[in-house]
Amino acid sequence: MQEREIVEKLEASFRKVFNMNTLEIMREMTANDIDKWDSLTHMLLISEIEDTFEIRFKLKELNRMKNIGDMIDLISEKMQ
Amino acid sequence: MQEYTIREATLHDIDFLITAIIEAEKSGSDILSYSTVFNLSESEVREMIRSMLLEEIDGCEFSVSSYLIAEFNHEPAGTIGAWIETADSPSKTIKSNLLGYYLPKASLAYAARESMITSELIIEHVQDALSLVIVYIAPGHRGKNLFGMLTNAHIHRNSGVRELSIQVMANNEFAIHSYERYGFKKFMNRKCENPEILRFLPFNEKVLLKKTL
Repeated sequence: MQEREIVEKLEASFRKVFNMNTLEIMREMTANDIDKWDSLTHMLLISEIEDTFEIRFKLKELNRMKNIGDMIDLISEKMQ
Repeated sequence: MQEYTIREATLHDIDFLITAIIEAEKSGSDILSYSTVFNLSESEVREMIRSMLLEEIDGCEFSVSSYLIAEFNHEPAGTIGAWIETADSPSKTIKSNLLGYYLPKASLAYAARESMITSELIIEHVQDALSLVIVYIAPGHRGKNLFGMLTNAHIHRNSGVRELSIQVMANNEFAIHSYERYGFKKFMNRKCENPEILRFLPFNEKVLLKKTL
């Protein structure tokens, strides 16, 4: 899967979880950049991403992700 | 005469830490938010907390390394967890990753459907401050200044820290009074007016207290 396609699907997951239809994600964005990104929505987001891409993150992979760019790279890695 | 000693928590303290986390979450009530928010029994919550503590991941309230134990006669009598909150590794993300990893998908779906209201009481941890969490003193050891002893030990363990922060439900007046006696001052509060929140949390208002060193 190309990065562009990953970003599009990931953006759709973000929009669904945060209920923000116009939300645009960028590689450098973190939880501090989205108001509704709290403990609960973080869990829902990870679960939604796992379902969307049909992948399962390991705990150490989750803890390695510092921003959306890391998330994109990790999904890309797991999709190969 | 026996005295209290302070030491770092180890994996041998897990049962005590689980009890501490559960009792601190209940805040003197019967409501355990991990049960109500995620539709789990208390025994399921206990086992989930055990699994998370066994991961030995640092930096949140499910990290054994966050805790100091006050011991009396070789038995744990009290504990407080603490870490310095950093922008690089926010504790909320570490905690959510652990919870999300161990929670059944059905529990997450339940939370998304039923308990999103609980987000209204979330207060962010104070950046660069020593965040104190899960204050638990076992019955029989209360009123012996273990809060002060454990907090002093955490400050000593994190040399250079300039600020302490702690969060508590606003109805826990005994705890708030203890923190104020130690020098904490109320900094902000967050309240939810929707009575539905009391289905999930012990109270509808939370307070953040801070102390500058």
